[in-house]
Amino acid sequence: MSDLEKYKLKYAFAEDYGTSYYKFGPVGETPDIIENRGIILDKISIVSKIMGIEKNIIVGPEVATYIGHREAIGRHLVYPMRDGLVEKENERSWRVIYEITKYGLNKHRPIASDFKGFYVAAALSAIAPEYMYRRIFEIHQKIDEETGLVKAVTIIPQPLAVAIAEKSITCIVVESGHGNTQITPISRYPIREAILSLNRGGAEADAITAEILKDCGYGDLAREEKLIRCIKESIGLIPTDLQTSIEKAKKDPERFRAVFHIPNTTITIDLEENSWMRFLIGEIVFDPENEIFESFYRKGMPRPRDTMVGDTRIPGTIDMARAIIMSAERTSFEVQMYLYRKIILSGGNFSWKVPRGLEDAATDAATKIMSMLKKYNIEARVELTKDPMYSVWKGALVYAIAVPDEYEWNWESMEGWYKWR
Amino acid sequence: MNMSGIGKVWKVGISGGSVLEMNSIEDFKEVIIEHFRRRGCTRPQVDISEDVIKQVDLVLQDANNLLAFRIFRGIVYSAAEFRVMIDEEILRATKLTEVFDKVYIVIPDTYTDMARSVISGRILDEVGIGIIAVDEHGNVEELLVPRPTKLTRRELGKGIEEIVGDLRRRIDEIELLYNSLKTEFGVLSEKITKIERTLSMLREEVDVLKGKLSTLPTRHEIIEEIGEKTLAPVEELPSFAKNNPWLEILRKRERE
Ligand SMILES: Nc1ncnc2c1ncn2[C@@H]1O[C@H](COP(=O)(O)OP(=O)(O)O)[C@@H](O)[C@H]1O
Repeated sequence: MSDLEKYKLKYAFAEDYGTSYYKFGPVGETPDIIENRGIILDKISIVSKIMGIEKNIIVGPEVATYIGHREAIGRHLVYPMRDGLVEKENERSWRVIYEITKYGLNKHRPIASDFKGFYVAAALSAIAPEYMYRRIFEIHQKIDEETGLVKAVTIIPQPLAVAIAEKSITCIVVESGHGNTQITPISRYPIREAILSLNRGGAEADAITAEILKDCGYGDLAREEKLIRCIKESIGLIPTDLQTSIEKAKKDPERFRAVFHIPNTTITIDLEENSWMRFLIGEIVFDPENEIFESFYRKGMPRPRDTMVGDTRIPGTIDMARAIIMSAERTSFEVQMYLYRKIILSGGNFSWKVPRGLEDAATDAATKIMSMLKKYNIEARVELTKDPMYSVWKGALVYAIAVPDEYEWNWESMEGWYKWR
Repeated sequence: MNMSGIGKVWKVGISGGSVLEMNSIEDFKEVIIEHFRRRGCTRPQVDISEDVIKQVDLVLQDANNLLAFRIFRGIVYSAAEFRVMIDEEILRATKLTEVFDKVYIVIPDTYTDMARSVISGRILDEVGIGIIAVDEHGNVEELLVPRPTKLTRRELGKGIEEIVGDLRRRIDEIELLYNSLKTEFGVLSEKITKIERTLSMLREEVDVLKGKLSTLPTRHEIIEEIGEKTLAPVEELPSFAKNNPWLEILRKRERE
């Protein structure tokens, strides 16, 4: 191994720009993690005018200390990647991304005489347009000019990173985060023309959780975003089969009873005889088209927006199995069979648990998708990443270690190291 | 003397050039008492609750009006700092206008210029707060004469709420800024500790190297020794990178 490759192995650095979390860090088993958000303070007069403070963006764990000042801070809080993409002109979001990136790199600045900057692999959504690539490069270059922390940078699509972390060369990666879901067939390379992106993710499950809380008399709590997410993760269940699971729960409400105690308060949420509704929370992730959801859409719950793949319009509510098939069918015939042999689910939105004693009615995401595919006569092997939260970061790190230093960035293949020094 | 000219500034010397050094709060109080005594003010003739007394430095009575004085104790070096502190001071004084007819903030005259540039006379006028400057010789200058608030409070009730709201918001913002500075300070001191640690490590290493250098005879050998050290041993691959077929695939990428 050349000295340069040794250096790269030592100073590889991976970044995963998730819709809700930013995971980052140098070579190691697990990354560091902060929320992908920031507070921009330009308009706060005291800061800019009085103290002449240059830094008027706050990112990282510090953000949490201001959330209490909801009124003062609300409109200053920016989530730059809510659905995986950042608009070209959205300067506020780009500033937050710049700041988050700098924060992450700075935090891990090595103290070593041989350090000349990291080899950074940044993971972006598979559908990130070229301008996002350019901007991410620019941001790293700028940070390097200010700090000397970046020697070279490359960008890897998130699903490819998952495949790498899972050591799979031919597979379909279904990545579902908070804001969106991407289906990406991979065979040594991501098959770009087959990528299908849905405008939905964990947020849809949050939305129906809020509706259910309202229906059950907890309307006042239904406005607290963080709390809803917590409740969702705690009480939501994926039904093995919606109809039969609901029937079981209605017959035996005590066994399926959904109770959630809000930590550090005296408040307990109890769905009582409505506990069967837990299954709606899980189901909507996989099949938001089910007619049972119609009444919720009519009441104003947002319906996931349609997406375009080539010239085909894909309904936002398409069921997950059909979406996977549509994506697979855009690849060559020979490869399809191999693709179905390994479907990898990743992202927090597939991390649903099955509580003990409810195995007869609730299931995990992989089994759910497997049985949905069976309805379309497709035998597939589906599995969850071992580490849904961090697999993108892990794959990106391997990518940084492996892509040779002399491979310069190529806009055709969208691979290689982008350099400026 | 025209008392209604809001914002109008005039000077009333009292100790006629004598060299009275202003050293303590007591000194300030003394010259203020003297200054207002000449205008017919007396010690308060009514009972004032302990609670309220604690919030002021001095209370005087002018006919039926109760006057309260708060002496600005802050030490600041810039208009910026002054603004932050005086904002808080004003907020406290504003609360006092509910009990007193006139409330004065007393500042050392070194801050007079800052006060002129920073304080909005309009706001103080509306809430009924006056500003007094005292110089090192004990000369008292009323920079801003307060309007008695009992009359105006009822008419201006709404305006005051707005102003108090505005001040509250400012305080919120100051608090915010304070928190952020505090955290940043923490981060910085952490960094410094780290740097110090590294520095002492490096020092030790240099000492070791120095020792070796003295025992090594030829230049050639020295270079080898140091050369090996510059690239510290490569860490082991993380578990998910080990035996990963992608390593080979990606390594060959450019040549494909
Ligand atoms: N145990 C769980 N059960 C159900 N949903 C979960 C669970 N853990 C995380 N999630 C959901 O996953 C989503 C976040 O996924 P993640 O992959 O971290 O997103 P991103 O990478 O886009 O930031 C959120 O909607 C969160 O509520």
